[in-house]
Amino acid sequence: MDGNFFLQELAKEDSRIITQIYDKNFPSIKKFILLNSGNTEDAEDIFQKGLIQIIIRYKKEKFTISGSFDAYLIAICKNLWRRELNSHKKRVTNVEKVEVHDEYIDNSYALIEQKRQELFIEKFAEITGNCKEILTLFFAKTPYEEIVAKTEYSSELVVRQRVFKCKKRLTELIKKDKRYNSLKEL
Amino acid sequence: MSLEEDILIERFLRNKLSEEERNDFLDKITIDLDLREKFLLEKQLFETLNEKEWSYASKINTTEVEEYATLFRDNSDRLKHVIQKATTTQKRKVKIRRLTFFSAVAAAVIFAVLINFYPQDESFTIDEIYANYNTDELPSLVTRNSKEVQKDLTLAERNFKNKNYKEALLYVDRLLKVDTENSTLYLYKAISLTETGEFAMSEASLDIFIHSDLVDSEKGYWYKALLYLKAKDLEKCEQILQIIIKNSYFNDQKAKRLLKDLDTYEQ
Repeated sequence: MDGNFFLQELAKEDSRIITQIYDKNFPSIKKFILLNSGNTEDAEDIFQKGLIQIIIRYKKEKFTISGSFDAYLIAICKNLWRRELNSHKKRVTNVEKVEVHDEYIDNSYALIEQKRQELFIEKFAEITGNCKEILTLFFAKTPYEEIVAKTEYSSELVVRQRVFKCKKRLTELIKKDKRYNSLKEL
Repeated sequence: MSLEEDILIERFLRNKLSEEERNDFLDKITIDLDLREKFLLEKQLFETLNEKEWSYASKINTTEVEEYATLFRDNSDRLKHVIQKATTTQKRKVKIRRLTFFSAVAAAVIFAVLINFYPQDESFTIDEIYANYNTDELPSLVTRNSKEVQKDLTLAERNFKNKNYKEALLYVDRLLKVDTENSTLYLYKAISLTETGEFAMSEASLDIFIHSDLVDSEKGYWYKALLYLKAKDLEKCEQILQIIIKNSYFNDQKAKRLLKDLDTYEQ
């Protein structure tokens, strides 16, 4: 059964499908959360939030997924937990600090952030292997001298120019996608 | 955008500007909207493509935020109830299954004591230790790949997660023929072989991975230790654990704990 079958059935709020999804995926989600500073209660909360996010999104835009439903749900739950863990940090830099108190608005933001992540990752997959390698190191905030040591580039200047070009290509691809208009920060 | 502007944004995001430079930059992006857009996009990329962080949305299209918020407001309570009901029934079933299992174990222990049977079953204990340490979740295979291999990756991962290791191996082997630089595939292969009792093949596959140029090839040592544990070759397992600890390889803290557990077990 492909992932979209589960999406459709889940949107019907069929409890048998929910039980099946829980049985199959909750242990992995729980294991991830326990290994990352959470407890069983957090895992149950995140599992529930993940399913609700998927159902709400499907109700509005009837989206499709290319891989398995299980992998998709687990990715959503991991992201929700990653979001939760980062929430105690400053949400954004001093440029615009926003505190969201309304639970439903916050859920709405989480969903839009998820969609933005999907767009970025999809576009990242479209750039060349060489660009992927260098940008992965760059976005992990690897120091330039270390990037030089790990790649075939001869100097920091060459790496800097390469990063510049690869980032330009990636941002062009993102901006060209019509989904970006509703996801970009103003 | 010029390279200079790009460097300025990057230095801001890496916290490498002085306070004065930082304030100048913040002033500049309130006036220069083009630079501001570039800065915000780069900031989101930094946060999104770095697994330790998360990119929060703040000032985006409010219509979409409100539309989703309305849907959450109208449906969340009902959905929570449906999910809770569906999962509570399941939790109860699991509890009953566990209770039945523990009752059976308790009965077996009492029986063993009554007939003066030595209650420690060596193989069960090693298997239990293996299960306790075989808990690392492998990265998903299905993200960031081209569509041509997506189907095989999905099937490999699905079968692996469902513990259909023999099936998983069919896809993993096929994928490794075209992509010899995918570390995750080597790990899926080694674990699948370990779980199906093909210890020699798992060992050979891990040796290839360990001696490869892949950046995370050191992970191979941890899975080799698990392989020897599963095969109940404790001497080799301990040798590999010592290598992990000595070189501070992947999971070195876990390796220390496992070594201690094995030490206790042997005594």
